[in-house]
Amino acid sequence: MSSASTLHDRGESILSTRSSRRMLLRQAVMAGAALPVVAGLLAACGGDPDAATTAPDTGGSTGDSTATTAPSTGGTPGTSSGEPKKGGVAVIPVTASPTSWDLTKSDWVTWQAVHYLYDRLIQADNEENLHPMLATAWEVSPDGLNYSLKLRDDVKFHDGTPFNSAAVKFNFERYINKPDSAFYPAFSVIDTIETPDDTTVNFTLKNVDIEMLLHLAGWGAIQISPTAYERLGDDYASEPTGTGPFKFKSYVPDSHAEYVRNDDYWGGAPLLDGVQIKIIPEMNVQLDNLQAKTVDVVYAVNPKDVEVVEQLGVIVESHLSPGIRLISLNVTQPPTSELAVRKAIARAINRDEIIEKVMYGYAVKARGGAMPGSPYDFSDVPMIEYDPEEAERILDEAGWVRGSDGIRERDGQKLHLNIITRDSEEWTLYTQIFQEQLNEIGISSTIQSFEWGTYLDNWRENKGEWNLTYMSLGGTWNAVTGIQAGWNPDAFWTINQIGKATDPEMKALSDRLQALYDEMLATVDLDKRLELGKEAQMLYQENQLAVWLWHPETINAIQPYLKDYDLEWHGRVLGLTRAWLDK
Amino acid sequence: MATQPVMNQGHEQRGAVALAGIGEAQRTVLTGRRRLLREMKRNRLATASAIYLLILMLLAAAAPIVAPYPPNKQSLMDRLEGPSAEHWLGTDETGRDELSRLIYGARISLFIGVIGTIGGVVLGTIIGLLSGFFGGWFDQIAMRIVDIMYAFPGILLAIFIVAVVGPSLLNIIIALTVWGTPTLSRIVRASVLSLRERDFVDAARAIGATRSRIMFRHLLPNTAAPIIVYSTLGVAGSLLTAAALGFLGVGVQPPTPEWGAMLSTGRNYMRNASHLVLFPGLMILLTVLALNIVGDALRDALDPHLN
Repeated sequence: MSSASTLHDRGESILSTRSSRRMLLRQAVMAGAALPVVAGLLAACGGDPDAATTAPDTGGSTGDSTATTAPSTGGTPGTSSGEPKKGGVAVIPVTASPTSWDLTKSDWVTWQAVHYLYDRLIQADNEENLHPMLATAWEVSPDGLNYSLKLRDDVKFHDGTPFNSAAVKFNFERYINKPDSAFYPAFSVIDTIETPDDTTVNFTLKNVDIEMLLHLAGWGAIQISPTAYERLGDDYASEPTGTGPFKFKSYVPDSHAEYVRNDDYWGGAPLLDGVQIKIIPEMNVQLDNLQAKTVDVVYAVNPKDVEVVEQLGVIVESHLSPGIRLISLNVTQPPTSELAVRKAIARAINRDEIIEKVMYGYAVKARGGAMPGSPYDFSDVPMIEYDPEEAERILDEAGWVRGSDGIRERDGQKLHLNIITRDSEEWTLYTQIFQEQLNEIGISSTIQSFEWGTYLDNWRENKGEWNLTYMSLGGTWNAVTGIQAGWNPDAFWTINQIGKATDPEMKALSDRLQALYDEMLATVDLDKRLELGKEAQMLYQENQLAVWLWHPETINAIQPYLKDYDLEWHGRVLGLTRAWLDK
Repeated sequence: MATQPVMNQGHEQRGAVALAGIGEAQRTVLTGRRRLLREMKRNRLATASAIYLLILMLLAAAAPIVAPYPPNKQSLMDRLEGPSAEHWLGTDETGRDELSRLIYGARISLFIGVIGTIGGVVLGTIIGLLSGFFGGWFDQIAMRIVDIMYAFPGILLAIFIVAVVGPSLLNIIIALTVWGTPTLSRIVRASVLSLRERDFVDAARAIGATRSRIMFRHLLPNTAAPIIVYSTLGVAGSLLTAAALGFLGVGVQPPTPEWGAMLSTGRNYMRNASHLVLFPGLMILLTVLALNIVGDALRDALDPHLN
């Protein structure tokens, strides 16, 4: 499966809550405790880290297992004071127009804008525990190939047509029959979909997929009205029709979209009259709007702006969400094909200082590539610390000695790296810091900055003889992911080009990693998978196949008068089903 | 044998006209220079601007001596600090000294501005001279190409070129050259069209001066005034275009200190460290303003119609 979506956060969005960071995923594996059916599976199922087709974060919410109450309670509910008031419109800014209203294409910004219109079959909370949503119960056969879901019988789409098993079948077939849709990688493993009655759906898989239940809780499991979709065809975007708490009213591209309350919502009508989505690309402009109280939230505030934002008297919440920032190293291109050079690079980067001074503490130092608190977070995998003396010693030993200009050389060859970056503020900033820190240990480098598309081509397709680049990967499930990145050699977004290595030793390493990855996918036993995950992490550290940097937190600024909201999807999306405005 | 005396004769004739030509050109330049000095003395603003530019050029040239810190020396511990005794203009997002980067940035910005303009001036002058002097099919083709280039907004053309060939110092200079060429060729062509009908050109032609001699020794010096004026204004334009390219992220590559790129990065810190927008913006503003004022003064001094 390609991890096209692991790149979901096109740079700017730093995502994630301090408060919940520690408990994160350990519990996720245990999640089943409350939900017997899920439990075994989640615990048993592990991880294809790449399966993250589209920035798959789990949604909010605890909900309760009987699912009779409103579905979205969630990550971090807004503080409530006094009696909830009805009325008012919440204004949510996003940085870009939605790319697709039925989520056949998908990215964060789209999800932030359109999720109010839809519900999913299952709901995962910030700890990745599963809860009922449109499905009230689910059962998985012992061989992991058959899934049976029981659906609610009191749900209607916004166009008045009933939500039933036929609609579910229609929605999944939409992805399965469309290989270029965002969720094809997640759901193409489904072989048949049967609908014995209106409230039962049976999925049969082609092979075991340890992430299937999480996918059924993901964005891909939103349910749109088959009637509306068939009637509107390509014009579906003019009238998106789901089952969610808010109904579509109007949309002006590049400006705003308006939703109104769904009075017939199965979880009870929301208190707000509606939601307005404002498209504001510039973060500075979003902050101006926050100050003027013309928006009710700003997502993904840059850590540097936290102090400024706090002075506005708004609530600042931060969440640690799945994802990692790393230094991607090209192991097929000298001099980064050399282990000593890679090791020296890892020890030259002062992560503590960067996290403290540049990220203002809104990040957690990465160890082996797995999220802190996840079952794959092994304390005995070595943390590679900043140690410039050791870095210099490694290079000296490898024959790279400092020349008169302070730059190291060997056999007349300068130790020079070709760094590529994308033309965004975040990337350019870190890239320049790395360049200077590498320079300190005698490694010279040049930076080439590209527009996003060109950058991705160069990086992924190993063009332009690049050695090193800053990289941001995010959105994989905590509970099942051994390493939060495209670490397997055949990953679409390979982080080190190891799959293309021709050097026999590197090739053998690549084969071993691929074998580990394939075995993890097919292994149901959690302990065994943990063992495999650990071996992969160790191979990465020993051979320095990447430099794990940090797991950033998502910081959101929320107006104090917005009450009872839910911060869902690891703190990245504001749920407004129960929210009200105290003004 | 028979051709020998003729050749000699021709040579002498050409020499004579050449002297006449130089006389005319020198007269223009001399009166121009005198007028220039007078104009400058009268125009305090232009004097101040010229002094500012001179100081800026000296600072840029002596950057390694006068800059208090190396331009790329980071100190994350001191990032985003406001002006202080240690860092007169504060520090940027990686803790580099803003003053040092502005001084080194002057090198880059002035270099791009001047070289980019010279490229356009040289190319434009040649095309304009040839077009104006020869006319005919060459003029037609050259001017139609120039018309096409005029149809593009200058900045768009520059962005297009840099986007196609990739961002680098050389490519930006190429882009600025292409950008400046049409205007210059039009100016020079217009001058040449009127000059070539003048008596001294007829005289030169009558005594057998070659075309290239007429063009470069007689016509070119007489078009000097508009070229000089345009160049001064052109440097301002080039500097601004380079800054715009840097601002849009298609200029010189990081960590090279360039005013436009510095302004662009600073924009992200407007709320926390406003000095990162203020100082590069001020440098661009003052320098472009100074160049324009000096350019205007030059025009006033060199344009016979205004005297």
